Amino acid sequence: MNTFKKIMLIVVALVTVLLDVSFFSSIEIYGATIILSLSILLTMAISDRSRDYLIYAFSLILFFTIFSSLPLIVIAIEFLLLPAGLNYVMIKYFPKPRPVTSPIYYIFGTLFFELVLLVYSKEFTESGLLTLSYFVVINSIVGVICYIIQEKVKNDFKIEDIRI
Amino acid sequence: MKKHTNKLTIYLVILALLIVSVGLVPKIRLNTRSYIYDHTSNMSASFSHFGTSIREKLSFFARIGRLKTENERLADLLNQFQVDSSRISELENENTLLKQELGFFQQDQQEALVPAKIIQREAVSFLDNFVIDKGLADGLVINMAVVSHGVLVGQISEVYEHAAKVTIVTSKDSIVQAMLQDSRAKGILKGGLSGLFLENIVSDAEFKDGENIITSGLGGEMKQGILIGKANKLKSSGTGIFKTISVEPLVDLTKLEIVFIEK
Repeated sequence: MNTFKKIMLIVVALVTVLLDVSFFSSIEIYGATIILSLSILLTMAISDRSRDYLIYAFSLILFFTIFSSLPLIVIAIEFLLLPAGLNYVMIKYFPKPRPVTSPIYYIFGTLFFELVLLVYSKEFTESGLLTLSYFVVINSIVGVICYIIQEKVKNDFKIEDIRI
Repeated sequence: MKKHTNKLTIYLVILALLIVSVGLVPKIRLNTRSYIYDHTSNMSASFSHFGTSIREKLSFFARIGRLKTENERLADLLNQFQVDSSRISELENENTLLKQELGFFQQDQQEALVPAKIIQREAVSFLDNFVIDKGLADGLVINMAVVSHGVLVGQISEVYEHAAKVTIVTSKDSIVQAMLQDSRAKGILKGGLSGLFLENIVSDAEFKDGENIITSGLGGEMKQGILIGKANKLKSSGTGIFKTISVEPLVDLTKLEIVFIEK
């Protein structure tokens, strides 16, 4: 991975976090919002064997620490422990990720993400569980879209080809 | 391969150090947030405006079937408000006359309102806070009331040079001293995913369905009388000493774009 790709990952992390806190947060669907940075992170974690996704994960933790009021430990669980766990499962049990199996990762990933938030905010109520289900459905769909886009881009374009 | 791993480790260590500094040292976090808000507020405001306009368009299509009934209901409500407005004008005149008779000073009721644009919201919606584009430079301080259409929206919880974080009344972290307007029974307004609730109301206090809930001014953080919402229904009587009433907010807090800060 060249330096350009690393810087690109940090810039993409900043842009996606800004989109999450200013654009997607305005479009609330039944109490749930799209978290694009999470979908991109999960996509990278389930298809990256070189652990380059860690740069993106660490950048997300940094920017969410700045923009969000969540404590650092919760952000670290959500954006480091969760993708690292999925990456481990992918390497250990699924030698080649397939579009068919990808929704399982997204459903599990978004479910875990929202469950941690519900536990942290002590909102284990009927409304909390309803928000959880909407969150899982919406963000899993966004995740699968991200995965399909990534597969398409990977076939036509490689960032390593860019030299500055 | 080893060289690649070493380089990756160096990058990760640098990022980890930055995370620890920003996350664990409050002064660095405050300065970083202030700097980032100053430099991203324009872009965030554009993204936010774009997002809200998309949401408005989507919700218009969802509401289209209900528009006729909604229109009739609003027309009735408008008539009612006109009647109320005329009564209030009369009462104001009478009040002024009585004050003059009794020799009371006529205080300037016109509070200074600072308009502010919402530039960012919490990515996780139920944490319910947002960032506005006004801060210390505009005279804002922590705990000031934030209103929209005269209705309390939240309270300033963090202030930066040119930005401030507002905790919305529906947030689980929000606590507002409030009371029922007619019965004057005082309580504590708390938010959460399940809705807005007025807690710790003495059990013998009577309330009417739809009665206004206003700020009580207790604690001195907020002035008395800012409208919050309407009493909806009794949720529980708790231990028997206190009861909890669910509150219906009067503004759609998810659709806000511009708010006013009461100085």
